[in-house]
Amino acid sequence: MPLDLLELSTQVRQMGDVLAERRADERKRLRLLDDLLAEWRDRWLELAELAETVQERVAVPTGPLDERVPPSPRPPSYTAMASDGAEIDPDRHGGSGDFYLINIGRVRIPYGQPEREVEMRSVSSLGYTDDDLYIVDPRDPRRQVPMRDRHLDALRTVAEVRALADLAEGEQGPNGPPSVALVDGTLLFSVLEERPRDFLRTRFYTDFVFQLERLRRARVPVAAYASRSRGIDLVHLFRAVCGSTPLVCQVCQGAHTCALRGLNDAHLIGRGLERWERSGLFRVRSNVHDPYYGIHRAYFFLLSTGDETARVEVPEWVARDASLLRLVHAVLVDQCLKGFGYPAVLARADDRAVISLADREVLEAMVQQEMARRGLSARPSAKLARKQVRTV
Amino acid sequence: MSTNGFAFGSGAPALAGEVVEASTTEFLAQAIELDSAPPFGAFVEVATDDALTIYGVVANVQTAGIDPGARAIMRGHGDVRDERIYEENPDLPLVLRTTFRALVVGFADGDKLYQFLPPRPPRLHYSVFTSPAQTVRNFTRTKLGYLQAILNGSDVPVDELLAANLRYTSGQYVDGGSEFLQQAGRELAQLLRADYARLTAILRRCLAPIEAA
Repeated sequence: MPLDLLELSTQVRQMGDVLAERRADERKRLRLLDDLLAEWRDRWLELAELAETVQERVAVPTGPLDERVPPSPRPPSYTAMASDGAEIDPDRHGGSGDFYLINIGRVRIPYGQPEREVEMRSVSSLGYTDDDLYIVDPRDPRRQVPMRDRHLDALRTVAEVRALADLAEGEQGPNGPPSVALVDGTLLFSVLEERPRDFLRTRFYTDFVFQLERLRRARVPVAAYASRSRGIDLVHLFRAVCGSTPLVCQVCQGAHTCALRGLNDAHLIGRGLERWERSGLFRVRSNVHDPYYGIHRAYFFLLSTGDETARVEVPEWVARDASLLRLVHAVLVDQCLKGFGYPAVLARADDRAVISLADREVLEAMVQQEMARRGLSARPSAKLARKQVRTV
Repeated sequence: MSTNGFAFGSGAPALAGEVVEASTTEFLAQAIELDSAPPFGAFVEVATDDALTIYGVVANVQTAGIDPGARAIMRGHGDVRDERIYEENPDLPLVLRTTFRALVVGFADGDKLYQFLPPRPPRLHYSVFTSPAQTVRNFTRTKLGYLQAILNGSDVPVDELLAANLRYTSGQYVDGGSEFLQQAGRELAQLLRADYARLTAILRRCLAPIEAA
């Protein structure tokens, strides 16, 4: 048995003590913060001005902090689209050489349109050419970064939105029932760069924004949905406001740590939301993303589903169009009702994206068969071979 | 949902589904449309590559999630009930499926009919048709040895299945199949000669329905 359960059970008990303490501490700090929030509730213009001066990524309020918007009635018919992705990283230890796989689940469900077909499919693609496996610096072709881990995540994120744009362009346009496109997670995905002014962000963000632009042209609003969001953009803003120095802070009153520590935006403004209400809109000011995103800069609002607070990100052209925003809100409410708290169409896309262990084995066998057919050896590394055949 | 597959009087076999599991004694098929399996007790057939036609009797129909890990949960609320649940969730027919299990009862090789197990099971993914009435009449007109195969069925409500098959088959005869029923009664009397109570229970299920008071 690889786990020392006896030792673990002691540790779990100790962890339970800490978790309980932390929860009690959290409640105490939330009470402190209520005063801070009340103070700033209607001074959101000041906050927004201040936000522009902060280096960190922060939320910029666009209205009173306690704004609450009930949902509009859902449209009698609409089309929901969603995509989700999964990937298999290149396997350094496997014998089958370098390749990766990206599997995108894409789903389109037309509601109230019995004449239209539901589409649910997986689009799987292998990356195996040198162009696939290495990201080459256009200014210095000698610099190559392998496409794996976080970079592969970024590639998958772009592929997800590309799938949505493909779906959106197949819609009937402004005359048909409205459509909404959903992705899981965030529009503000991260791309790690190894050195200043590297080429990696340009590569991924440019492609991503191009896909968002296709959605805008197709007039299909897109939103990224994060269940039980732990976003902290607003927390960051307040830390900038209070200076995050508890000893001299009026809110923390000399406490040993900042009252905002460990809290997220849902703690701050999600608590006041009734089921299906959304918060006001906040723009995310991000020095990393803004230069690339242009008119697709990200805004977010929090949405209460009753059991939890979700964060919904939309690009600026959706945020600034009241009718599109109402549509996104109403559709998300209907989708969460259908999906028991999580948008039904996203759940279907996730079903189609997931790569099971059995799928992995089938792919591995296919690759090995193809290599054997060509007389190529497909030996795993010594480490993997040792794992596969356990010796005593 | 439509209920196709019941092809009384039509000449050509109606496509009912596709084989997804097969063994010597039975096969499992996925119905071409949700909730559209042939009726319990009906004759179905699958062609093989060596020109045999394998006959089966539908012994169980099931509708569930395609993904074995995904269970259906209650979706009705307010006035959204029954068919309206499907209208509200048009994705359901893509994640649910209806399957039916058929006991193999015989096969045809050209003009010759055999009421025992074929040499090979049907192939996976081959089409399953509801047998046309003429085929059912040909298969059941002279010999009824296949009733033994149903009696030997495991994990099926054997007595219910026998009665359902007799009712279904008699319905495939233009005259209501009284002659067929008499012959089937004699065959069953022979097979169940040691169990009179069971015999009468089965035969009673072949008769007219009980009138509601």
